[in-house]
Amino acid sequence: MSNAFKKFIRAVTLVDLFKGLALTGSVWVRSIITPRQVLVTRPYPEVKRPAFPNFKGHHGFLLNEDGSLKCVGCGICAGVCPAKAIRVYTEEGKDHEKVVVGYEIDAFRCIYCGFCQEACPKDAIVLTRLYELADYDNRACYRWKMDRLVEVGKKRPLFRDEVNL
Amino acid sequence: MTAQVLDMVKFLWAHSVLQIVIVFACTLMMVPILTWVERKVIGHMQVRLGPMRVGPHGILQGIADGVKLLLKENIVPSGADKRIFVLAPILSLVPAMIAFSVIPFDHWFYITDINIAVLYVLAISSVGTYGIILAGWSSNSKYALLGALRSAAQVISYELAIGLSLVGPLMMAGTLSMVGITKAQAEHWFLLPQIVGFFIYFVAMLAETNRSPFDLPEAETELVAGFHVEYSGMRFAFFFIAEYANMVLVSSMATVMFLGGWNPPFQMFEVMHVLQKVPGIFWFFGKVAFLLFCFLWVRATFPRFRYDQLMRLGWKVLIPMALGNILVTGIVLALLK
Ligand code: SF4
Ligand code: SF4
Repeated sequence: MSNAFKKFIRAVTLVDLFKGLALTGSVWVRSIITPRQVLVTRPYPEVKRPAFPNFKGHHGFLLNEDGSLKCVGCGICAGVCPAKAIRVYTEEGKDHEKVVVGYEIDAFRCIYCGFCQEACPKDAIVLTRLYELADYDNRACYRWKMDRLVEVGKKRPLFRDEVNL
Repeated sequence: MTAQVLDMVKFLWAHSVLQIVIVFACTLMMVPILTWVERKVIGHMQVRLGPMRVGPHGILQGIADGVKLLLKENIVPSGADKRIFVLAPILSLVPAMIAFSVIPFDHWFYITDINIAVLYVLAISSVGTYGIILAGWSSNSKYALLGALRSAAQVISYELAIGLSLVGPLMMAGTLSMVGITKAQAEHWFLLPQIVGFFIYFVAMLAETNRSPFDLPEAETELVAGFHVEYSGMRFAFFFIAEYANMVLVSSMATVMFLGGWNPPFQMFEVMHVLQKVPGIFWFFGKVAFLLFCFLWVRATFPRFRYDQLMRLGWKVLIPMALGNILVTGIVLALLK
């Protein structure tokens, strides 16, 4: 059979059109029988994609067992940060010790390098795998204050658990 | 009291008022269901989930959309021709609805049976095109105008193909009344002898309702939304309902002309007569539902035609095929006589 004839037959019998219909049709039938295997969409807020083990997301602030801050206000993290994203506010306490009164990370400046976590002598600041950074308050989205960091540090699975420790 | 109510119902039924109300309500109810089914089926074919949020598996999505459209503002562009702009959606919805008046859903359930029913449907559905053209013209927007022009050209080309493809069944039935045509198919559907006609009708009905792969008048990627780009709120909903009502209408037409209307399948075999136990209206709606599914199936499968391809298919393939089909049908009918 010549090529032209084959081509003609294909065009007249509409084989290719029916092949296409068979493909979509079979996907549809399978999606009715076994939807979980066929349909790949994740219904996002209900089913969250787990972050990769090395993912560096929202910072968390860790506490000691008695609930006090691990951070001693040394400021090394702020010094090492290549993006100058960290501010540590300290005051002199009653017994002339250093008290951390404020800690702030500018999420717009941060490049999520993880140097702060590496440098911290007290393991107080860590990067977690939290990637949902939205908030109802737009300032809170990019200026992470102490309370927010502590909250995140309490509940999120941590990055360094698997990699460093 | 109950006797009076019964009398009232009988009176309304005899004067077709009840039928009109039922058909009208059902057609409008079909729209939210169809949109949900469409999004769900196409989603599944493309391995997506489709709507999932409103109600279980998104089943109330259509109603949510309807409420949204009701509450939205009706915007009239400042350069628009206001009166025509308001008239256009009505002109496209009304013909789609009134064409249902001659569709026989069962041997006891139709609004009216006129002896030129097929011509009536063809004539009325052409009027619907005016809605599209006027909408495109009055919006004073280039996208809308281009969409409307495409639509006019497309509908004129494919109206011919649709009309010619219906001539075959008409010759076989020997009548233009929809009820008569359905009754002529009590034993054999016209599907097999008129398979070419059915194919032409199927392609042309996709084009006639501006559905994919012939959705050039509203090609999103080229024309934003085509002729209804300037419409919002309920006026947009009118076009939307008209499109879906037209889909149901052409599917009903195909069911009556080729798939035997309310007749169950395989009636040439004695054993299959048990199928007559199922009310005809279920057969009718089953066939319509299958054809509507085909609309979605085709939409999920094929890419859009280019404009010149569309015209070439219409004039150079479908219309000659339809003419040949008429010729062959005529010769065979004459020989069988
Ligand atoms: S992750 Fe890097 S850029 Fe971000 S605060 Fe820590 S040191 Fe700075
Ligand atoms: S977080 Fe760590 S490095 Fe930063 S100030 Fe506190 S103790 Fe020092």
